[in-house]
Amino acid sequence: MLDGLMIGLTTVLTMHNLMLVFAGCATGTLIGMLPGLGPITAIALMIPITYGFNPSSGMILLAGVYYGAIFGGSTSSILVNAPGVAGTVATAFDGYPIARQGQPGKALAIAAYASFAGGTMAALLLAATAPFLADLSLGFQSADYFALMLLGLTLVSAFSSQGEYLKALMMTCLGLMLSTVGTDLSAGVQRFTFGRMDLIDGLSFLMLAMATFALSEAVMMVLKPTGNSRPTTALTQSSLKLSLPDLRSIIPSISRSSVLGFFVGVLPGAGATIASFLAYGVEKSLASTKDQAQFGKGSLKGLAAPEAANNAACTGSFVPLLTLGIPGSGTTAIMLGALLAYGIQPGPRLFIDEPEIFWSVIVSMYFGNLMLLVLNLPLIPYIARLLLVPREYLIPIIMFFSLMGVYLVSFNVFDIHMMVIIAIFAVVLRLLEYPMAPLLLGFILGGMLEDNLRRALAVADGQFSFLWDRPTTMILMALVVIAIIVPLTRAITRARGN
Amino acid sequence: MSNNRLGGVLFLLLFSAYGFYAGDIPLDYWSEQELFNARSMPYFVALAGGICACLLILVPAPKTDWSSNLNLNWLPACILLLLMSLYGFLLEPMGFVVATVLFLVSAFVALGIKSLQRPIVVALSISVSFWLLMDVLGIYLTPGVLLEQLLQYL
Repeated sequence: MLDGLMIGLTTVLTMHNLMLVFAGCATGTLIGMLPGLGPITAIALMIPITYGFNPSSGMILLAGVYYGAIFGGSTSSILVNAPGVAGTVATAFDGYPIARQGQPGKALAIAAYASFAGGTMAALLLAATAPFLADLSLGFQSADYFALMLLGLTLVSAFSSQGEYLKALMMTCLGLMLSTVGTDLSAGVQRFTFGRMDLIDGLSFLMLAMATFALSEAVMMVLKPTGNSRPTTALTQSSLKLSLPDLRSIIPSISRSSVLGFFVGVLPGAGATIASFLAYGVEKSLASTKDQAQFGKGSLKGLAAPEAANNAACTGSFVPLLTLGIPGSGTTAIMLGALLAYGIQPGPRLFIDEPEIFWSVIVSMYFGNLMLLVLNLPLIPYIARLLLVPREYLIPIIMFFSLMGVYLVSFNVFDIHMMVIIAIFAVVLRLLEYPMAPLLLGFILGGMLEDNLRRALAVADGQFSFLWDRPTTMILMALVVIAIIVPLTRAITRARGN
Repeated sequence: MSNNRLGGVLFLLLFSAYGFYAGDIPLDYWSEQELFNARSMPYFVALAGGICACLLILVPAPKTDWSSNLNLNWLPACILLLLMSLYGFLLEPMGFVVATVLFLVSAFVALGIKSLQRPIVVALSISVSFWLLMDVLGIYLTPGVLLEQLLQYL
């Protein structure tokens, strides 16, 4: 491994490649901040530029763009509650409230530190465990994935305030319901499209996220104009400093979430979204009763955990790509395309045949994270000034970017109308105090849940015994049962007590 | 009535209709014989949603004070929603720049900006710079059917 790291360091530590890491991070951050243009778009836009480089340099640039875009997405989540990609939805739960409390600099700084720590820990884990993890991830079967997705869904209690567990479950079911709209790919039949061509591909995640978070938040800001969205502290470098108690409270969360995020990221298909939601849920479950009440209202742990897990999972998703040639996410699928375009075949022989590519990507991940920290920390006071814009100007601008973010993906004005309709429902549901996060969670996991259930049933010859046939599935299912029964009983008991 | 109970009733109706329409999903002969087909997931979700809705109705919850919602700033919020919808209708016929300027200026005014000079400058700079950025990135934004026809005529 040390030989490999030396090869990687020798490749990356040239002025040319360091400049590429810098350029990738800067470009990725700028593109990622625009709602609708996530890491997939950012990487796709950069691939033609990398054709002029050797494969190692090309991959170094793309890895920088990837990390930059993820961090850029977190910035828009924190400042304007507009998570452009699924992986940064959980960041908005506490990042946005912290920014609303007048501390956007602090929120962005925590995001930067947590991303750096998560990415760095995951890069080290990747270097140490990549070949072993590749074998392990291959052993994960559809039944295990199904149980894992179900566990992710049942952790909705983390996104509900005291006594609102049933509402969170209700919203999860609504999200699952919306995920069934469109063409069922296994049978090729349309479901709930009402004959409309625009609904054949189903509802897009981005549209739902923008409508339920960004647009509904903007409308809520108009409906209840008392909220203070302006920074109260001076936007200087000193405002980014974290106190010792702050650091003490977030370091364990970051460490736990980084490890969790990395291992979830290794599983093909699981990725940054599940990792960030799981990390948020785990941290809330582990927090004291007093700290639990802060989640969703501006908890530092609630911001640091998903950010660290998200970045760690991005690194973890390189394990199946580099060691097996299996892209674990949409972004790594694009990167697989880039590798194939360079004439490189990723797979078990990559780190034997092309060690400089394998190790330079791993080392560049570390340097990319370092570069992001160096690049973004000085810029945070300037980025956070976005919130100094008067709300009469800020709200329409948020609306414009949200609408454009969705329109630029489909170039179909039907999506704009759908967004407005969904935003109206979201506002009504928010006024009735229904949480929005479980809706997105159900929507994101719904399709994957159905695919894995179908596959698991096919493998088990139509028997539901697959739920307890394998130890991994059985343990995950036992956790699911606990995750449903405990908060449900608590919610019913509390309601009766009241 | 509590918002839990009201929501529960509405969701029960929604999931009942959803479960009912799941039966209308077309299946061929072979799919109908399968244990898990295109209707299965909607049936599971309808069942889960129905149970949750029933629990929401049955579990006691404190009464909600609806009067606070009546005093909200409804008029500008409704105008903004209407403007967004209009933006969707105008984007392709009027073109990106014109439709965006109209949307932003109207929204600024709806939220209480008095003079027109600053909103127009802000809206123009945002729409033109965004259009230029997209042009650099190679993303096409429509100049508008009206402008295209006018240019053809000229």
